[in-house]
Amino acid sequence: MTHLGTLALYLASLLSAYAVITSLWGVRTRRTAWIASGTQAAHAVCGCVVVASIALLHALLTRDFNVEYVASYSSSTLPIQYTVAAFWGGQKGSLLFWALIHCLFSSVVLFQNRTKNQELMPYVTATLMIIALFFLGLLCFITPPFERLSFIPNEGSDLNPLLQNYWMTIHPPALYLGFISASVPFAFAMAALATGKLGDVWIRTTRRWALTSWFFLSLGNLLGGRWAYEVLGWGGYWAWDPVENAAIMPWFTATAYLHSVMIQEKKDMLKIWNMTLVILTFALTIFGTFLTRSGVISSVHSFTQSGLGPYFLTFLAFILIVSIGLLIYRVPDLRSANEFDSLLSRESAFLFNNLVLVGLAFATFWGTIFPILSEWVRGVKITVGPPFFNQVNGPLGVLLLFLTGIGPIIAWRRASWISLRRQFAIPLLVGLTMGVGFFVLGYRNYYAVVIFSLVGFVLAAILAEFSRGTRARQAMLHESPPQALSRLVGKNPRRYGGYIVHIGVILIFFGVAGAFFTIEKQITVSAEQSFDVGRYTLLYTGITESEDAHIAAQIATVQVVVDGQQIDTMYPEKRFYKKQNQPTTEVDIRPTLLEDLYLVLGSYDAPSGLATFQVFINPLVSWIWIGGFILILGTCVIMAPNPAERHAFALARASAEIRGEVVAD
Amino acid sequence: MQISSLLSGLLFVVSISGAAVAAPPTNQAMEASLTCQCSCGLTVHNCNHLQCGFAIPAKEQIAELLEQGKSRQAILSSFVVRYGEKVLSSPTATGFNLAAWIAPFLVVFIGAVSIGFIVLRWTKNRPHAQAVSPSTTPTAIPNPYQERLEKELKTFES
Repeated sequence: MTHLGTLALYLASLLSAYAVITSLWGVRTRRTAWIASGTQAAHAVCGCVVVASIALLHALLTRDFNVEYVASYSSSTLPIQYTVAAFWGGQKGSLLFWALIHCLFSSVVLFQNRTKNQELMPYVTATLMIIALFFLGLLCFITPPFERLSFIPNEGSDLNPLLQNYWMTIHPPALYLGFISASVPFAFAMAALATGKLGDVWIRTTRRWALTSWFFLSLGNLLGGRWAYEVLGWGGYWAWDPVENAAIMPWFTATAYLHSVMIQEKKDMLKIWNMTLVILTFALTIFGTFLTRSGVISSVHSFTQSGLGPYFLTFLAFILIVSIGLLIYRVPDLRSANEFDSLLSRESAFLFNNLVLVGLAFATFWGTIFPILSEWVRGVKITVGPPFFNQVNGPLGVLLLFLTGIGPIIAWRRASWISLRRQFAIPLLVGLTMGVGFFVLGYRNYYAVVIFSLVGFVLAAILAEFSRGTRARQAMLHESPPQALSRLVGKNPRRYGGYIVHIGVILIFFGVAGAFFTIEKQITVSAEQSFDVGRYTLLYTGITESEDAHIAAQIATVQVVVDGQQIDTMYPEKRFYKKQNQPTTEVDIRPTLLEDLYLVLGSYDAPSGLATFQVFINPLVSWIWIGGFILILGTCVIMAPNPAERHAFALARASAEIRGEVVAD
Repeated sequence: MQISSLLSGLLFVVSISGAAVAAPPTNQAMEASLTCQCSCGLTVHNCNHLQCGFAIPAKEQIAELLEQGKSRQAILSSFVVRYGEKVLSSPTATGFNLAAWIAPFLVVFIGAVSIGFIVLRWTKNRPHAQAVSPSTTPTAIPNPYQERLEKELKTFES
């Protein structure tokens, strides 16, 4: 089976090269047969990569330890779900997984556009297949996943214990889906630049793909945070690790794009800027992959021993040179009649929102690469860690939160001071009340109070929008409030879904602000001894031990008492993974809307019976996950089928045809 | 003059955002100022290895030095002398490292000024337009013209 996998990868490489050449040759010679052949080759590439992926999964599931990858990332006792997750748990498998998703997406895109966008599609095929060729080339010649050992080990080395967590089975795929789907808008942008068909059609065609990318980037980052919170045992969910930064940077630029593209759709402006954001987002996904696999920056997540850095850097340089070159070549055609009615308008708010988002991406990028710069310039190794990012990105994040409140309620084109006063009065009042309220309740931290106030301001602004729209429908159409609300959202899912996403974002900010009030304590106690942390009294009653072929565990039993009443029992664990010879901590978390009680069993000394615990009281953390859920829900609402959008697209295509931009069908 | 004012402004922003720097040193703040050298990738304060060979002695040393009344700078220097600058969890605000702190704010500041300037230029010769209130757009209340347009588009599509 693995020989078949290797063969499939070689065949896929050849076919992807063929698809690139025939697609471009077809355009050059104006022969549709070549273009069709290129498209079919791209579908065949997908088939080959599927076969290779099945071969690797088969090797993992049948415990074929003669395959070096299987021996390195699995074992005979590894549970089935983590054996499947081992597919993307190591360097080679994750590259194959990347190629698999990329080729599947490419096939879907080519199928979706089989009768549309015929002038763009050869270039789309060529771009997608160049990307596929890069990954397939790595898999064939640099880091082959089916490489065999000269002997058959009795047992595999097992998957890293930190990856043996259910969040880890879904976090990397979600992030990969986000990274990889960014290549679709990029491919269409390249096609638009290459053909000079620079109207709205490529943007409207890829709108769902851009949203899909953003959806999965958001989901991937959230799940990554949840994984870190549950597995790493330091009480936090985000540490500005280079790999976390690599995941959040394209999210910032993709978010900026989703906002600025609305101005292009409405006013036919910012074409150069939108192209730049699409290129930047895709380039950042490749840069992130470079960071993870180059070893230039040390990270707890990275595959630092791979030596793939130069290949990724070369590919990144190639992408940037070609795309920026094309962009510069097309600048005269991308210039638009720029018309703004006023600085006080929603358009301006979107521009400033873009500035802050790109500023956040730049600050994160700058902080991530600064240690390399320092070493080059001064020859001195330095660390740029969480305090730097918190101090630099923190104020920018607060500014973004403020703009999130401004955007929905400021008028398009021109806002008058009277309308501003009318629209902002209640949100400002709510914001101030919330800030003062939390201050009075004892949440006395400058940053946190500002964030709480802004959360109140933005939430009130968005809810007021829902309320106004609902009341207008009730008055005009005599609908009941739930009916009016659901139809309001259903009639314009893009706008109101966006507001729902904003609610999710502000709840995440709300949860993050809770970190200013974390209480923590480390203590060593013997059995039946209790200790106080915040409002809790924790009674440690003893340790039980369990063991199977895979894991030996020490499980502490801790009773949670508040005001003399036992309210819960918690079971933090210390695990020892036998194959990897590695201990880990399994935290126990008692979440409530107010705060999480987060309990870590640090160590247990059997002879003395002493156990060391680290306890965190993390206020408001649950709101991060609730906000994340709402954000995902809002994105689903935005992506829901929308007749109005279809009509707009039909109009855009019709006008593009009239201008001679697209040869449809 | 303008450039020096700009830089002063930026430094002010940095100093505000880094308010913790000026605050009296606490154990937690000092521990957060140092990167753990056990490869956990976290600060000494957050190191998730409860038996860490670096974080635990470092925490003890910080507590001892704070008890002796040592300043924040003196404590950090004692670690830098021993482990090099990489032990600090964020770059010092001196020399080349200053670029790390200033560049992001400078980029955003220049961007904001540029956007303001560009938008004002774009609006200069525009006639006064009516505001389009967010809630009175056609999506909130259907109007007969919109509905007719939709019907015609539907016919056109089919």
